[in-house]
Amino acid sequence: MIQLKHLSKTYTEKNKTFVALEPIDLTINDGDILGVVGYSGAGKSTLIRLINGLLTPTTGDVYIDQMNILTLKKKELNRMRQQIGMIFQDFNLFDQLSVYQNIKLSLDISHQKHQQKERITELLKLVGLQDKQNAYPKELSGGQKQRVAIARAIANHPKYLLCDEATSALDLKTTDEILLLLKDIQKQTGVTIIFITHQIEAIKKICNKVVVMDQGHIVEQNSVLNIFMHPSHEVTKSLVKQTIHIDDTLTDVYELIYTKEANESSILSNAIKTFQIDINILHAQVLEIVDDQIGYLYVKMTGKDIKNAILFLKSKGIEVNKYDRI
Amino acid sequence: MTAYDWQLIQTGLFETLYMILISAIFISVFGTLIGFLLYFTNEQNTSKKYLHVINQIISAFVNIFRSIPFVILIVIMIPVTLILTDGQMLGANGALPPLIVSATPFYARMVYNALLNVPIGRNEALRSLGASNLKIAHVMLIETLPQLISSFTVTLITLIGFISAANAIGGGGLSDQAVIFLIHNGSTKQLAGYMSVMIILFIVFFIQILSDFIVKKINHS
Repeated sequence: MIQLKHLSKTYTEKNKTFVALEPIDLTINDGDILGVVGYSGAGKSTLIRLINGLLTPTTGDVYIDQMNILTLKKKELNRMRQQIGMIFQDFNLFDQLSVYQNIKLSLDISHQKHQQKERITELLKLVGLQDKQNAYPKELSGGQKQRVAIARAIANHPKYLLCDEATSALDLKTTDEILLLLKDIQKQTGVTIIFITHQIEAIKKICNKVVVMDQGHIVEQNSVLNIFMHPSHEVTKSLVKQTIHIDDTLTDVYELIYTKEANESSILSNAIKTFQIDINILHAQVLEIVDDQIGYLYVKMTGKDIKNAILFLKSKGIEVNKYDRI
Repeated sequence: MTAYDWQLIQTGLFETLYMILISAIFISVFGTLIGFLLYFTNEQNTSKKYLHVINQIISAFVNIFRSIPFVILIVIMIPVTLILTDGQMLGANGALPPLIVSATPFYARMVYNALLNVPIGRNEALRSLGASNLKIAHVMLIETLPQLISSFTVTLITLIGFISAANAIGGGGLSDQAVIFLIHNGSTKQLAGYMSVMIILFIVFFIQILSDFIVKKINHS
């Protein structure tokens, strides 16, 4: 379990101060895949670097399995870090080391002299790069580099894995492959993942919990399903809407959100008949979220009794929002 | 060209190679050490204030000794050189202290720059793996090795230029010999002079070509 208590970070440079992270409290349970999402400058990268002590907080404490990492001596901190893997947006492999040597680095640092070769082969198989062990990073694609970085990060069987914009430099297809790999690894090893990104798309594919950050604050914290169903903060709403494109000039546009329980077609036709309204479907989309599905329906509603129609829809378990582009 | 001229060229060549070799050893060891010291004491790597102060002090020294023109450095260093060489200012050994003091900061700066050119994320990756400073230094050395070899070659070739300057004020070596030969205007000694210059050029080209070959061979980036 990772506990962040009243954690903040202020950068001071030549009498100028910049608050990257306002004091926050956060608990990350074992086995979680926690997504931390927000626009750039929200404080996500600072947050993740405070967890493994790459940065020292201005105030507050970081507890990893009840151990305050700020009180650790350098050697103890280094041993602790072997329990916390980390991967990055730009992979950070060493150009002059082969794939094999890059992964070996991890085992050398933890003084794992025994059966190195077997472990590396096992890791390469896990990430699907058995045939690349003698290749150098420049010969690899972005996705392959991230696979090597993942193998390096999990080589010492860490309990936690920090992912700093791990898929942000990759194309959509590769992003999906990497997310799938992380999900697989999580299932096999039970590693706790903290996944930082500005792409809400990635969050919905692997995370079970989400923290939304804005300007150094945690503005919303919920399960993934609830974040997509009932986004409450403006930033969350705008992030969720990244996935949908509706003509801005249209008026009377409503957003209907429903889970798979709602049988939307008959509900809609009932609403049209009962309240004498017109419903034009502008856009429909089903989001696969972890093991759930959420339907999004963007409609233009016109007619006499829209107010009651909305109440009726809401009574059937459909979330109805007036659609405003942010 | 007489057999005696050949002998003079040989002696000069031997002295020059000796000066290159000895200073190369000192410069590579101390330059690399100082470069890494600068790297590990900078603000990127440590938040300890006293280390930043050390960084600034070393930085100042490096910049000062890098800026002093070599010929002037030789003169300034005369007292030190006399102590180090038991009063023997002339000859190859007398040239070594100013050569080393002048070129080491030059190379140290290049080592430091090479280290700074490695994306900061790779340093973070090492630290996130729990690497000690010694291990970080080891991996960074491997990562920057091609760059370090190129930089060292530039330093060596500059050094050969410095050696000529040192020769001019009695440092011995091949350039000294070349100057003496070439001064004999119109005599057969001129040929020996040109021969000496050719050998110096050959040394420079050889170092450059060898270095390019090695860098190409080991560089994977």
